Formats: sequence, structure tokens, C-alpha cells
Amino acid sequence: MTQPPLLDIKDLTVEFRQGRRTSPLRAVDTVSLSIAPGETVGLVGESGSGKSTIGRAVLGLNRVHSGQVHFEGRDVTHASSRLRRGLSARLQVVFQDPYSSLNPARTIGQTLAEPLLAHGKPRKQEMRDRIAEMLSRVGMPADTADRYPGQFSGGQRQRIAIARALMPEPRLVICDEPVSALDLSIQAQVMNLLADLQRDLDLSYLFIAHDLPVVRHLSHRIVVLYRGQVMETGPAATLYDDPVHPYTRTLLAAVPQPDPTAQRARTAQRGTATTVSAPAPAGCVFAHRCPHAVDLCRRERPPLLPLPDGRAAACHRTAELHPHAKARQSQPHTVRKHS
Amino acid sequence: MKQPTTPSAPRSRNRRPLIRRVLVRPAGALSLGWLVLLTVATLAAPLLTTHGPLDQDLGHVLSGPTADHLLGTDNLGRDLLSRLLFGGRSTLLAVGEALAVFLALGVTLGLASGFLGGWVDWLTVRTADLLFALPGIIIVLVVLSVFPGNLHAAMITFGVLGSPGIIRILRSQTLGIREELYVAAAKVAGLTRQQILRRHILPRLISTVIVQAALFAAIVVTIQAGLGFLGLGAQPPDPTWGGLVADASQALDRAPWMLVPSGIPLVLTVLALGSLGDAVRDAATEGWSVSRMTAPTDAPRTVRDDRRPAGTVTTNSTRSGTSALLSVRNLSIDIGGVPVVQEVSFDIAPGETVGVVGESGCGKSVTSLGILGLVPGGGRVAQGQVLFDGTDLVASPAARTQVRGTGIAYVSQEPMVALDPMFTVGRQLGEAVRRHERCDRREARSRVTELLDMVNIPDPAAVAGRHPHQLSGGMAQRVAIALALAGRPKLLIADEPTTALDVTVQAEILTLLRNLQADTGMAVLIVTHDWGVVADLCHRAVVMYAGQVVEAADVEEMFARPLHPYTAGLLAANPHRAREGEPLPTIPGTVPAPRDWPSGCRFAARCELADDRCAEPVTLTEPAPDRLSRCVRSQQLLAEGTS
Repeated sequence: MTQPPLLDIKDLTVEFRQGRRTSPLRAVDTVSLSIAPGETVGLVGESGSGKSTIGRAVLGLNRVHSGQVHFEGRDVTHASSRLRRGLSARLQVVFQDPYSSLNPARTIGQTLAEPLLAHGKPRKQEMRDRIAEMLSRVGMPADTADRYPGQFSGGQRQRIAIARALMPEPRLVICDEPVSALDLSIQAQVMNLLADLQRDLDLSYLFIAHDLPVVRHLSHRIVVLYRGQVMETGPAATLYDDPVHPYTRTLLAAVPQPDPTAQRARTAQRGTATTVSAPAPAGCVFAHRCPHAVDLCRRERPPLLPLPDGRAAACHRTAELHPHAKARQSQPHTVRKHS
Repeated sequence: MKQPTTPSAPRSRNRRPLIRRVLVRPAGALSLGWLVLLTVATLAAPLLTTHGPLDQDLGHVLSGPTADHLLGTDNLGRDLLSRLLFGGRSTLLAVGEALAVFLALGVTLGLASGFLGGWVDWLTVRTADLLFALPGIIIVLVVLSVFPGNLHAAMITFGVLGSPGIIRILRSQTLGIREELYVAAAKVAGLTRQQILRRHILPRLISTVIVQAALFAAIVVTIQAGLGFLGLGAQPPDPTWGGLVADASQALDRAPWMLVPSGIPLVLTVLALGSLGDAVRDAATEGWSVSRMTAPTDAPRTVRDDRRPAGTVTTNSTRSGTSALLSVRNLSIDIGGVPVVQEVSFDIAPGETVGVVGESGCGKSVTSLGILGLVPGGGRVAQGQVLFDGTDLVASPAARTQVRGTGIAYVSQEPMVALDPMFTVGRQLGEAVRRHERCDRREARSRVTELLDMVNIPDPAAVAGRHPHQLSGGMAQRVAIALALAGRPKLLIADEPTTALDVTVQAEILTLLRNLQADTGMAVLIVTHDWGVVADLCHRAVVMYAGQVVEAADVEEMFARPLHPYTAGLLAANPHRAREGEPLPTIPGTVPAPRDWPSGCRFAARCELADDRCAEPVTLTEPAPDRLSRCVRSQQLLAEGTS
């Protein structure tokens, strides 16, 4: 089963200048990942992990410092604005903040028509039908098109933002924290909607979020980021149920379980340490917070090594800490598996 | 208002055109009426008056209004109405010219500067700053001395000199709008720069442009009149409004009437321009500038027969045996005359942690602030009691002030808001310490260190010397908690204290709160939407829906066997409990806005179990010991849960 990936990111590095004197901030550091048609890849990490920056770089909203982004086999790393316009039909986005992502001064119909304008002017009736169809698909009433965003709640706005992304029938949708700003009951509605749309339209998602259970529910594979680097990647179920990397374990252990008995047992073991942010200059970026860190970890950055069960982790001590998941090869390897 | 039945074309707006919307506003109709009348009258001047503007009638100099001269005559017997109307032509022309230059330069350069940035921005801003430094009126006078009597040159110059103001305003607004996500979405949609400018940026700027244009037009009218007054515009004997005022001022002692026809139109025109600007702005944005609180839903407003239906459990029977530290009794809160919290009752025992759970719009935060008498948005506590250590804080504002900080402390979701960016952490904590305790500086300082130590800040001395912006989010929340602890409170109210934090930092803060509670014995009221936080920290939970308590119970009981469909739905919607490959259980619909609360069960419209009984008001009952539920089926849910 060797379907070519829809999106293929190789050694992506994004830097932000911070003024003239200081060295640039490396927000994304040699990240590689790929998404197959119809697949959802979850991108998880805390604030500052660079997860949103990766999404924005794929969309051409952030400049790529080095590395390549291939979409449908074509290099789009530094795509011209004309090429971008062509891509927009197949590569779309849903942002986190449903309040800022819709222009309050334009009707929903005007907003939804936009993605089609870049590809020639469709006839009015055609456009109208398409908008009505899209709105009903995301569960909004037909008269939505004539209203302004101010008349809708956060969850409804997010449905509209999803409808806008789907207007040109894209193949890949970058979902940048699409449910983080929503209430629990609405979050579940929108997550189900995304899953239904994927099944019906054969969409791929790059699903960016900080909430592991949310990512776990929607993704086929998960990539865990910390300080711009990939810590661990693998099939969602394996990674969630049996994390290899100490950072993934820390992250999972920190998520409070909605079960008082289980949660009390977990908190009893939890330490009282305060996270001190001390950047590691040369070694593993997680070393200063890692309970298993040894000298090697502070000296050398661990490569992302593939494991036999289809995963990969960037940790020097994987073999010791996880004897069952022994590293297969010793040289660095970009992660691309569609098994 | 508007209820289109069929989806219409995306570009068409199913509402009245702008001009109609301006005209329905009295100010808009009046000011537009005046300006139209003025324009038509000046254009049709030869038809409206039989006298030419230069015709002298030396038999009737400085006369008041007569049948022949409707507005009287000046010192040469010239008809004032005629001079006013012919003079108005040059005024309107001047306004038109200056405004055209002002807008053409201002809008183009303001947009380009803000949107493109780079050298375009640099050059525009520098040039605009340079023009700011020039004294406008003097430049206009210089231009008039080069082109004597050439009002066109003067007005074009004035338009150029006026444009830096609007350039800078539009530039800064564009800078803000450029970063909005909908602009990013438009880029992803493949729109060109021009399309983004036209579709997204300009519509947001339109109200600013209109107001600025109206203000500028009013200034041009006065400047043009001033030039006429000084004799620098059109040369006498040609009529100008300014010239009329000049003539009138010279004959002030002999014919004071003359000032009326020459001055009043000037004043009215300036006023009309100002209020027309406001009216057009309001009309242009009325469609979308709907405040979120009052977002209309088309559901008919139901008439509520509230005020405590018979049989309501008015006291919270849970923990009635123990003496509560805080006892909220039938608390109702109104904001803007609309009830947003109704008859909320719960108790907190000393050392207990109670979670208030629910989605946004259910009144959890308002309730927590209402306890402290800090209802936001101009709201007020409409009825009920907040008994803290036996004192009613609602009835006694003095007790409320006394209790803040020392009895009850508050930690908000956003720690950066709680901390003053101007002062160091140590100084802010020291201030709080000295507010609550009599001590000298040194004692205060050691107490500050102790407080920072209590919240597990690794290097208290160093952190005390920092300003809030130098702290990470988690560190800032620790400092905010230290600040709350300064008065040794018996109750800490924490409103979503970990929502803005990363999950690993959240875990640390939750551990901190638990340890602090163990050490100090204080009670905690935590407002949250996260069941994980409730499970982690709380002994008891109160679930709120649409301003009411719908369920209250010990957390173990509640998680195991929710007795209200809303609690059950909210628990099930949590992705933690998701089954692989299956859709998440959801609650259809959304929380109704306070204006749309039905008279019956407020959750009925979203509830699978709803039946006829739910159309009637539902009271809070106690289906099991220490458990409250506002559901007609609570007994049934209890039986199903145990079976």
C-alpha cells in the first residue's frame, strides 16, 4: 500500500527575527511529517511548541527558513502568490478563533463565496446553490447566508468557518485548534462534524491542538512537538495508550481524567515541582524537565529513531526505558510510514 | 425584522438600501435634508430670486426682510438671499474639492501604508509627519498669495494638508485588521491583495472614513468662510459666505439683522455635516455591529412567570447539619434588567472545595463575582443572600468591603490582568500584605518571600524583583495566587484558574491549590468547564445551566450517576470518554441567551428525555440524600443508575 502522500513536509525549519541584535527564534526545527489522502495527522504540543507555525508555513502564511513542503507531489515551499491561488482550491484552513476568522462587516454568503472567486467567477445561481448546500452540510439553516457573523454563537461560527474551507472542495484542511475555543457540548458537535465530513468527502486533516484526548479521538497518527522539534510520532492509539517519549508521558499524565477516583490516585503520585524554563543549548530540548535525563541528554540532541511498532521517538534512552520498543536502526531517519 | 425564506444571492443584501436607513434616523433625515436643500437652492439660484447677487438697490440699503427682499439687503442694497445662494456655490465647490483631495490621498495612502508596510509605509508616515509639522493655514495663505484669489488652489492645498490625520488613523486600523484571522483565511482562499483590500479592509474602515470626511468637510466650510471673511477667496464684489459675515460685522451697530442670514446657514451646514456623518456611520454598520449579549434570535420571546414557582426548594438542604463558611441563598442577578442568574443556592463548608460547572453563558462567573458584590456589566444582585461566616454580604456593603481579600480572595482566569504591569511582583505583594497586616517594611518583605515560597516559586527573591511581563503564564498565575493569599483568606474563589495554561502547568497549579488547601485549611470555590479539573480538585460540584442550578452532588456520585440530563450529556461529550470509531455523544443545540429562556425547563429543548411535564417550571428536588436535581425524571434517573 504505497499511496503517495498528499502533504509531505521534510526538515521544515521556520525562524522569526527578534530585532537586529538577537539571533532569530527557531520556532520550528527540522520537522518532517506526511499526510496520506483521507488521513488525519494530529499535531500536539504546548504553547510555543511551533504547532501552529507548521500549519501556517504549509499555508504560506509564514516564511520557510529551510526544508521543503510538497503538496500533491509539487514543491510549494516558496510558492508564488499565483501558484498559491491555484492551491487554494485544494488546501484550506479552519482557525481556532471563530470570532476573528469571520469578517464582521460581511455577510456569511459573501464570506463563503470568497474561496470560489479565486477560480473564475461562477454564475450567481451556481454560487447560491453551492452556498446553500455547504451550509446545510454543516448543519446551518439556509437563511444564514444573508446574515452577519455577529448574529451567531461561537459554535455556529466555527461551522461557518468549516463551510468556507470546504467551498472549493479541498483535499487537505489545516485545522488550527478548531475546537479549543468551544464549549464542551459544542466541541463534541464540531468534532463529529469534522469526522463526518472526512468520511463523506475523503478529506485529509492536519489537526493542530493542545488537547490530547481531542487529538486522539480524531487522528489516525499523532506527532508530538516540543520547542519546535518532534519528540514522538506514531499511530494515535499506540502513542496515546503506551507513550515512549518522557515528554509524551508527562503530557498525558498532566491531563486530568474526568473520573474522581482515578484522578485522585494519579494526583497522589504527582510531584510538587515547578517547571523552570531553562533552555538547553546543545542537548535534548526536554532534558531540563525530564526525570530520566542523563549527561548524554544534555550534550547531544537525540535523533528521531523509528521503532518496530511503527512509531518513532527522539530519546537517547528509549531502549533502556522501553525494552519492548527497541530502536531498529541507529541513524536518523525521517518519519514516513503509511503502513 | 428580516426573515428571508429562500437563500438569496451572496452579494445581494436582503435589506433596505443605505440611503433609506440614513433617512429613518431623525438626525440623518434633518441634516441630509438641509444639505440637499442647500445644494438644490444654490444650483437653482437664478430661478429662486429675481435679484442678481450684484444688483444694487440703493433705495433699500440695510433693510430687514421685506416682500421684495426676503432676507433683507446689505449696505449697498444688494439682495441677501441672492448673495447667500450664489455664495453657497463657491462654498459647496470648495468643500467638494478639498474633500476629494483629502479622501483620495488619505484612503489610498492610509490603506497602502498599513497593508503593504515596508518602504511604502516608511515613506508615507515620514511625509505625513512632515506635513503635520507645517502650519496649514499659513501654507494656504502662501498659496493664495502666489495664486491670488484662486480658491481652487487653496482648497486643494488644504485637502493635502488635512490628509495626514486620516492617513495615520487608517494606517493604524489597517495594521490591526491585517492581523485578523479572516484576512489570513482570505489569503488561503486565494484572493489577491486588491480583493482583500476591497472586501475585507475597506468595509471595516468605512465608518472611520465617513466620520473623518464629515468632520473635515465641516472644517473646510469654516476655513472657506474664514478666507472669504478676510477677503482672500473670491474677490469682492463676488458673493461668499465669509464675505457676507464680514459685511454684516461692519454694519453690526446699524443693522444687526444682517448677521442672521449670513451666519445661520454657515452654522447649520457645519452642524448638518457632523450629524450626517454620525447617521451614515450608524446606518452603514447597523447590520453587523450587533453586540454579542443581545444577539437576536428569531425565537419569539417567551413570557416568563418566574418569581419562585410554588414548591421550590429554597434552601440547600445539603450539608444542612454542618455550619457552612459560605452560604449562598436564592441569589438572583440582573444585568441590564435581564436576569442572568436565578435563585442559586449552595453551601461551602470550611476547607471544602466546590466546583461550579457549566458552559459559557450559564452564569457561573457572574455567580462567583456576585458573591463578592462585583457583578460585571452594570449588573446588580436582585435578590437573595450571601452569608459568609453568618454575615449577609448582600445586605451590608461595609461587610462586603471588609471581607474582600481577608475573608474571600479571588483569582481570575487571566493572571496578567490581575497583576499591574507597572510594578514589580514584590511591590504588588508588599502592598497587599501591608493592606491586611500591620507590619513594617522588613516584616512585609519577609512575608512576601514567604508567600512566594508558599506557591512554590523556586527563587522568591529574584521573582519579587520582576515585572509581570517577565513571568511565564504559569508563574504569573502562581503570583496571582500568592496575591490572593496575602490576606490569609478563608475562601478562595478561582474563576477558571487554569483554562489559559498549558496542561502540564495546569497540573502544577492544581497540585498547588490542593496543597495550599491542606496547609491553610481554606475553602475553595472553583469555576470551571473542565470535568477533569472537577475530578482532580473538588469534593462537591454544582452544575449550572441557563442561570439556574440544575444539579448538585458529591463528585464521585455525580460522575458515577448524574441525575440531570444536562450533567449526563456534558460528561458524555467529553472526548476522554470517547469510544474509538464512534461519534461523540452530543447535546444538540446551544445554551439559550437569557432573553430566550423558556418558562418551563430551560434544558428541555436540547433534552432527549423531555416530555409534556417539562413545559412547566421545574423545581430543584432532592431525589437522594445530599443530592439535588432540577429534573422531573430525577427519581427515574436515580433508579436507572443504581440498577
